[in-house]
Amino acid sequence: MKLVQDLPEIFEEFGEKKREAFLEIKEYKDKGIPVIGMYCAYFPTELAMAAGAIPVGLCSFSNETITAAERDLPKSMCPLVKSSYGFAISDRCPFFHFADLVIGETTCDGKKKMYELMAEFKPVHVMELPNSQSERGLAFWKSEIIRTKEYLEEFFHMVITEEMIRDAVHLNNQIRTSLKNLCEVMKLDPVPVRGEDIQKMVQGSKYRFDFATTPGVVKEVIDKIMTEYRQGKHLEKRPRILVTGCPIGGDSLKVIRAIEDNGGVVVAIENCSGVRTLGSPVEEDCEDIYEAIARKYLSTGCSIMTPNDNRIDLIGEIIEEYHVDGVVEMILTGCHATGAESVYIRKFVTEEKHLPYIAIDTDYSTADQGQIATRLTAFLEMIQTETEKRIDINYCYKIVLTGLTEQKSGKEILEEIWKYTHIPVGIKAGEQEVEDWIGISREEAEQENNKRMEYKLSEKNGVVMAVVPDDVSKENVEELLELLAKSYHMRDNSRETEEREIPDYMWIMAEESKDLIHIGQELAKQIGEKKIIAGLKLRQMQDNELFLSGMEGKEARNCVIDICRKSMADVDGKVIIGNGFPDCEKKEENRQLQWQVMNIASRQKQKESVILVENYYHELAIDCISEHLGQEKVYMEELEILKEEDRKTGKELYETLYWYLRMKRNVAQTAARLRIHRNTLLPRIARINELLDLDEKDGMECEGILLAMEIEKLKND
Amino acid sequence: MYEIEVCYKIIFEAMLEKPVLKSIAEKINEYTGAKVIFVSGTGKILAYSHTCEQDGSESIRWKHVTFSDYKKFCQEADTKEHQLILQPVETMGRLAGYVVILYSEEESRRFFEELGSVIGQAVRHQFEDVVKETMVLQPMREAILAWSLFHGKADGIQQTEKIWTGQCIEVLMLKKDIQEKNVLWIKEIWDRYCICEETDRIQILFYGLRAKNTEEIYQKIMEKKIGCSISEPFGKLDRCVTKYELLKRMSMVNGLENDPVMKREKEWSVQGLYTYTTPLFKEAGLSDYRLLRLLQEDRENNTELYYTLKVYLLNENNVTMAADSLHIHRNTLVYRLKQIRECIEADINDNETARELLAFMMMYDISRQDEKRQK
Repeated sequence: MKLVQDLPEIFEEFGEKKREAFLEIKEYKDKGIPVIGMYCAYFPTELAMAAGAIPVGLCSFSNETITAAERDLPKSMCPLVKSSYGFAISDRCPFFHFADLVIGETTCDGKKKMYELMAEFKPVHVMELPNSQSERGLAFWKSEIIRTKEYLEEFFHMVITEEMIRDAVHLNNQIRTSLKNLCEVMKLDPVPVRGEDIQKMVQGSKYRFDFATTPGVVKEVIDKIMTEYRQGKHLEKRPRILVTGCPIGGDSLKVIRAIEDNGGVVVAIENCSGVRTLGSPVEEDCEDIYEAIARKYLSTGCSIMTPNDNRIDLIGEIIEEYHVDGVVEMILTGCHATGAESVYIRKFVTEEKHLPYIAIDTDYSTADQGQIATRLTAFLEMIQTETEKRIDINYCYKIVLTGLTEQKSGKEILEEIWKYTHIPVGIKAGEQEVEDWIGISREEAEQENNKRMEYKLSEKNGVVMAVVPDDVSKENVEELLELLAKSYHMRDNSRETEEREIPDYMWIMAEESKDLIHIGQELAKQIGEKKIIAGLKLRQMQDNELFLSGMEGKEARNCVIDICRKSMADVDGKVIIGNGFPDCEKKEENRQLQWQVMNIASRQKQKESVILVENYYHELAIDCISEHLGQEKVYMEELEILKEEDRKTGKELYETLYWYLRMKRNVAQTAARLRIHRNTLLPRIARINELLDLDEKDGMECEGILLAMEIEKLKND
Repeated sequence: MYEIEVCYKIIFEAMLEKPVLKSIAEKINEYTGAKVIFVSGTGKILAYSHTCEQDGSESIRWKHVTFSDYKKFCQEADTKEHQLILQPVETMGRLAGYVVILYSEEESRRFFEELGSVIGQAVRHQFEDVVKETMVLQPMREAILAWSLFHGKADGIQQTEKIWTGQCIEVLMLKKDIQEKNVLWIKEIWDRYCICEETDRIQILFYGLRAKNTEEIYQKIMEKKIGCSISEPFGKLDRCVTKYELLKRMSMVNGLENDPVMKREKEWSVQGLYTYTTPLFKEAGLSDYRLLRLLQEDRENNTELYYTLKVYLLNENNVTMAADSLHIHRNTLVYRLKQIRECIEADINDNETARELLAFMMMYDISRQDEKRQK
């Protein structure tokens, strides 16, 4: 299916999928591919897929077939069972017609009896489902699955290997995940599409028999939804409803439609036709794949299980993750299990989650459509008024954050806040006495004195203000003002740091002023020519000091260094180029640091005419430390031992160690520095090792020794 | 003649002004001309009349009784210049300190004795606060001895105390790192020690050690998981002060990659010394484009190139040893070094460059540790 359509068309197409599917089924049958009919979410479709058959859900959601069923089944039975049976006996379900085998489970009483009756005119294999989700139940369910597998092997004259099952598990997991991801787009606030559309897709995808391609197709739809959402296509804010209870499809979609036509949006459907089965995958990384299958399927939270804790947990999760505002439970008339369980659901939703809850008891007929619409409209209105009173502060955070990252002006951000919250906001910044209001005129704001709230912008004499409307709580407004005040600072700060950060500052100093003047002229000339230093500004601070600002990082500095080198090529004097620093307040200290380095360089009698600070870090550190130590040196036992030895034997072990460590234990280089032969050096090193155990010392210790020696050398000079 | 009743009034009024002890010392001095000094149980001088400064006494200058001055007090020697009253202050069941009165008129002895007793009672509350903060219970003599050692006033000690042969190890603990409220475990480490307690830290000197004992000390401290900075063994007592300074610097270093509980001098002295270089960064804004670039790369790609480079340079550019330290394979290290070279565009195997880079990295990391700790 090529995605050249718009989303509404895609949804329609999926909705229609079921109708077209029966033609497809016929094709598969003609090709000799078997068809297995199923009704319930407890059946592991992996078995069917591994057997090379198409598992297809049989019709069960129409009101029209109920009359036919009531010939054999009691009127008080649940409409889902009656409808399914009705489709079967009146041969109105094409999938039933083409199915080679029907799989049933001993879920509820109605279904159990239905399968008995059905077996009279169709091959039915019934799996015995345990009543509890216990370990014993799990063991039993696993054995049932294996028994069914063996039944299928015999029925279809083929063998189901471990590999086939594992492949089916993997594919099914992918399909489940992709559908789950699709459902998860409804977590967004506001929602991108209607819940009914998502439901159409989820249902419709079950009638796509080209299973392998389903994940890809679903992903494309998700991407399309997200792209359009980012472009701003979404529904307006509505009360977010979770629908739970009996399976919904066909004629029972009326509940979902009633909600969405009357101002709400269904963000999630917690039942076997919705997300109930999509959340948990079969664990593929398991030695016993059948146990993994059994575990996943048995965990389905249908009310025929006792107890049914999984359903409560799942509902709780959905409420949190989807930011649900209210819960609607649809109970089919005659479904005793769901009906009885609703007391738990009501309690959980109202007392633990503090959300409104309503139960709708209905069947497939359209007679109560008006009544349902009225009840749900009232329900939604009640939610709406409650949520309206609460402004969603998180949404306000979103507005402010997007505004800051998109560099919108303060006024624009306030405008958006006003549009969303309908709370008049204003700002009085700095020394201006003038108030700047959005959503209300200055005069009106003055009149509303007793409804005004202010929040200080700290460090500056300014305030953000708001006029509290009647239906909003003061705490809410205060939260909003706090947020606006903080954002004001963030904008200020980011502006300030932007001014400071990218243009760096740098000092250039020279021994002779004439050298510096020459460099200054060269730089000025090159600024016009070279792009990389185009933003550079020069300032002559003293005769021999030049201050640069607007330096753009490493490349700019390298360029400046080149220019200086060329300028000093024929001259004898010395020039020192600093490292860039971003903080203007450190200007003076940085300058002194640079002079310190210049002194060190002069002391060392370097021949270079252009001195770079980065070649003197070590010396700078030693200088700095030595200054702080004052008269003291760093005392080291090891060095005293060596000095003692030197005094006695005159071997110059101290010097030897110094250069050995400096040359990183390279014998050749050390010998060169000391101007001695290798053979003179090696015994010295051996002796040092004897005395100090040098080979055992790690890097940090050797650094320590070297540091102590450097400091001592400095003090001796 | 001075009257004791007047003194009651003076003391009462003095107690309304803060700081109380100083106020008492001054007012009594005004009335009687005598010098009053308050000394805590550890030898710390809490307050004194300002006229004491004229004597040029070392103890006054350091606000702590020196060992030599202590000997004078002990003998309660009346010198030529003045007479001495030494009034102990007891609170919470133990000796909390002394009130020292130095006066010149021999005949007023009776009065000053009584005055001493009165003041002693009055200041018990102030001394209580001092006592509460003190963790280490030891005789005043020991406390003063320890203090003198650590502050370079060791003259006179070596001669009188003949037990100072052998090696010494110095330990510095910050009070905030001490879990238990007492220091009784020190005895279990070595039985010859001096403890000096300051407001926020405790210094210990273990002395009389033989070469074989020294490693035991380190082991025991590690076993007890005591957070401290500890020196290498040294032989000369007058090293105490310099070691003390070094240990102080070492204790400023923490929050780096692996935070050991016990910091040994041989591994941590370099970082300790480098704490002196922090102003270069904080105040003078020293920075290096190449290494900042490397850090940026690490942030963006979630790599550890900066740390890898540091360990490589610390291991004297030896690939095998560095790979060992980093617990990675040789090849991984070689690959990372290639990435590093590409990023900073400098020859890290050139001796001089390597030296400078390592120095920068060490200084930079120390200066940054405050921010890391805040995180």
